[in-house]
Amino acid sequence: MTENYTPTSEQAAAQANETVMRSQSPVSPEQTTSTVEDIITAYPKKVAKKRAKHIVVRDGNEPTQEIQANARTTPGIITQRGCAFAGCKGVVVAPFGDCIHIVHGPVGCSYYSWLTRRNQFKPREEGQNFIHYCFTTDMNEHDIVFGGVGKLKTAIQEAYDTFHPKAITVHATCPVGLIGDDIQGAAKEMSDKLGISVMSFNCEGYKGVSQSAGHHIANNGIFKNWIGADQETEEIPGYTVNHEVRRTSC
Amino acid sequence: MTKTKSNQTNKTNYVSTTNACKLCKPLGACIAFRGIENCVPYLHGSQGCATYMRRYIISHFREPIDIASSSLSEKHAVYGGGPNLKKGILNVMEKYEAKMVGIATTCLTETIGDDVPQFLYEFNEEFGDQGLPTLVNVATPSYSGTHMEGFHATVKAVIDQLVGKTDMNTIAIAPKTIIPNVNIIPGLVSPEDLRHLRDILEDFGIAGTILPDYSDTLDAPATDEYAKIPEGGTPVADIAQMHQAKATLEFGRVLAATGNTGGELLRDRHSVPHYALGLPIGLRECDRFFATLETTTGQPTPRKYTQRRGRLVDAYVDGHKYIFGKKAVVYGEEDLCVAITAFLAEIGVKPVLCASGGKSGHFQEAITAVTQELLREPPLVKEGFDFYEIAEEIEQLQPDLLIGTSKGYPLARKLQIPLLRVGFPIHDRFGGQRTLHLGYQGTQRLYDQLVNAVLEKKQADSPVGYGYL
Ligand code: SF4
Ligand code: SF4
Repeated sequence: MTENYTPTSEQAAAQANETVMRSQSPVSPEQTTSTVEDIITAYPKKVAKKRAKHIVVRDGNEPTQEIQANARTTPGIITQRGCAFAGCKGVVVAPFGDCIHIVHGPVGCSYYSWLTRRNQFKPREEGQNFIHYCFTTDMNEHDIVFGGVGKLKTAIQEAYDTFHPKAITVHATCPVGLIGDDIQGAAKEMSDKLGISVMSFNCEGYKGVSQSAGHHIANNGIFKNWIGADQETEEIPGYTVNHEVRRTSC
Repeated sequence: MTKTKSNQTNKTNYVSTTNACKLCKPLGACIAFRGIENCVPYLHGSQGCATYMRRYIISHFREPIDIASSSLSEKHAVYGGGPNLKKGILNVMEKYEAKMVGIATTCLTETIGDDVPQFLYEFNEEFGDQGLPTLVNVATPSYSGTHMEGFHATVKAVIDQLVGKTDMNTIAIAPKTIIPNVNIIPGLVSPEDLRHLRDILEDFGIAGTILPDYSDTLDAPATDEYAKIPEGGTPVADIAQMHQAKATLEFGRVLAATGNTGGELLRDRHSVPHYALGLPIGLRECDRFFATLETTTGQPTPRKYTQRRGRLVDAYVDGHKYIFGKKAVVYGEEDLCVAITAFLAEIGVKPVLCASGGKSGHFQEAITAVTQELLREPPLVKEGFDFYEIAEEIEQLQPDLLIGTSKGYPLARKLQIPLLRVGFPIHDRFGGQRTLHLGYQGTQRLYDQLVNAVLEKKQADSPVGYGYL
C-alpha cells in the first residue's frame, strides 16, 4: 500500500508502445486518412490544417505514430500548457479534500495551485476537509544546497500531528528533482512510522510536454496504491461514477 | 476549516508552511516588466511557472498577460537551457515585435545554475545585426525571497541595465525633449494608484517617470482589435533618462531599510537625490510625500489636494466615534502592512497583529517607526508568517476586522468579522486592480470602507436592525 510508483518517461513510452503494438488496427491506412479528413471539414481552413496534425487514428502496424499534441512547446510561444506538477497536484490529486497534500518545493508552485477552481470537494458527513489548506515545505536556499528531505519529513510529521489525516500525498516540483531529494524514500519511511498511507509523486514540472504527464503520474499512483486497498465496503447512497481525470486544464 | 488543533498553549515553530502569505519572486518580476512599454516578460525555466503566474495575475487584474517561457524539459534541465533561451527570444521577437524582453529566472534555472547574462551576451554577438529588442535580465530564485523581492530586484535590474544608456546596438533610444523632473518608484501598487500618481504629477505641472507603470497594460480599455502587447507602460527611452531627474521618490520603508534599491542605485551611480518614503497612505505618510514633491519641484501643493487633505481630516473626526478602539489584524506584503498600520494608528484603530510572509528583517523596525509616537501598545509584528500561524495568533487577540488580501477570507469567515481587501491578490471581489490606496484620496476611500465595514457588522449583529447609525 505504501509502495510508490512513478514510471520514468522511458518506461512510460515503452509501456505505451507495447500497448500500441498489441492492439489491432481499427482501420486501414486509407480509412485513416479519410477519417481525419472527415473530421476536419468542420473547421475553417486555417484551423483545419493545424488540427489535422492533432488527430491520429491508431494503426497497429505503426508503433511509433507521431501526434502533434505530444510535441514539446516551442520556446517563446505563449502556451496554455501547464506542467506535470500542475496536472498531478493541481488537477488530479488536490480535489481529494480529505487528505493532506504537501508540495515539496519553493513557495510559488504550491501557492498557484491553492484552492483553484478545479478544487471542488464535498466532505462526507463527519468527514475531514482540508480543501482550504495549502501545505508546502517552502524550500529556501539552504534546502536547495543541502537537500530538503529532512524538511519534508518534518513537514509530514507536522501535518500529521496537527490534523491527523488518513492519508498524505507529497508532490515534487522542478528543483526537487534536480537536487535529487529522495521523496519516495521519505514517504515510505513516514508511512511506516505513522501507519497511514503517505504517497509521493515525482511530478517535477519539467517532465512531459504539458500537465497531461502529471495526470498520468497521479492516476498511476492512485490506481497502484489506493484503489482497492480499502477492505471495508461502505455503501455510498445514490449513483456513483468513477472518473479518471485526464486532459483537463488547470 | 475543520482543523482540530490540540490545546497547546505554547506556540509551535513550524518548519512547514501552511497557507502561505507570500508569492514567488518571478511573479513580481513579470508584473514589473509588464509596466514597461512594449515589453514581454519572459521566464527562463519550465513552462509551468509561466502558465501558473499568468493565470494568477489574470485572476487579480482581469486582464490578459502573456508571459513567454523557455519551456525547458528534463533534457534541458540536465544540459542547460541556453539554446532554448535564444530560440525563445527569437520567437518572441517574431511573434510580438517586442521592443524589450524582460527575462527572469525561475527556481529551475537557478538550481541548475544557468548563466543568463552570458547567454544574452552570446545572443547579442550572434544576432546583434538583426535589430534586437532591449534585453534586461534579473535573477529571481524563489527559494530566497518573495514576490516583492522579485519586483524590487526587477526594478533595480532595469535601472542598472538601462539608465544612462544611449548607444545600445539593440534598439535606438531616442533622447526625449522633455527631461523628467522626478522619478517615482512606487512598488507593487494597483493600476488605479499609478493613475492617481500620474494625475498628481500632472496637477503639479511636472514631468515625471514612474517605474514601472502598468496602469494601462494591466488595466486596459476594451478595444476592437486585440493588441498582443497592450499600449502603455514606462517608455524605455524615459527609463534611459532617469538619471537626468532632479530627484527620485521611492516608496517602501522596508524596502529602504534593505539598502539595496533602484533609487539608491540612481543616487550612487548618477547622483540623483534619493527620497525614501513610506507608501503614501494615511495623513502623515501622505503629508511627507506631498512635502517632498514641493521641495523637489519648487511648486506648492495644488489646492485640489489641500482640499482633499482637509476633507480627510474632517472625515477622521466624523467617523472616530464608530471605529475608535477597534482591533485590526493587518497582513500581506511588508511595505503595504507598514503603511496600513501607520494609517490605523492615526485613526484610533488598534493594530494588534501585523503579519507577513516576507522575511526582510526590517518589518519590526518599520512598524515601530510609524507607530511608536501614536500607540501606547505596539502591535505584534511577525515576519515569515503563514495563515495558519496568523489563525493561531488571532485566537487570543480577538480582532474586529482583518485588512489584507483575498487569502484572509477563510479566516474572516470563521471569525465572522469583516475583511477589508487591499493589495495583491484580490480574486474574490471585483475590481481589485481599481482599488485606490494611495494619496489623500486613497486614504479617504479606505477610511470610508473601514467605517462602513464596522457599521455593517454592527447592523448585521443587532437583533433590532437599526437603520439610523
Ligand atoms: S518553481 Fe519557483 S518560480 Fe516556479 S512557480 Fe515554483 S516557486 Fe515560483
Ligand atoms: S517549478 Fe516546475 S513544478 Fe513548479 S510550477 Fe514551475 S514548472 Fe511547475
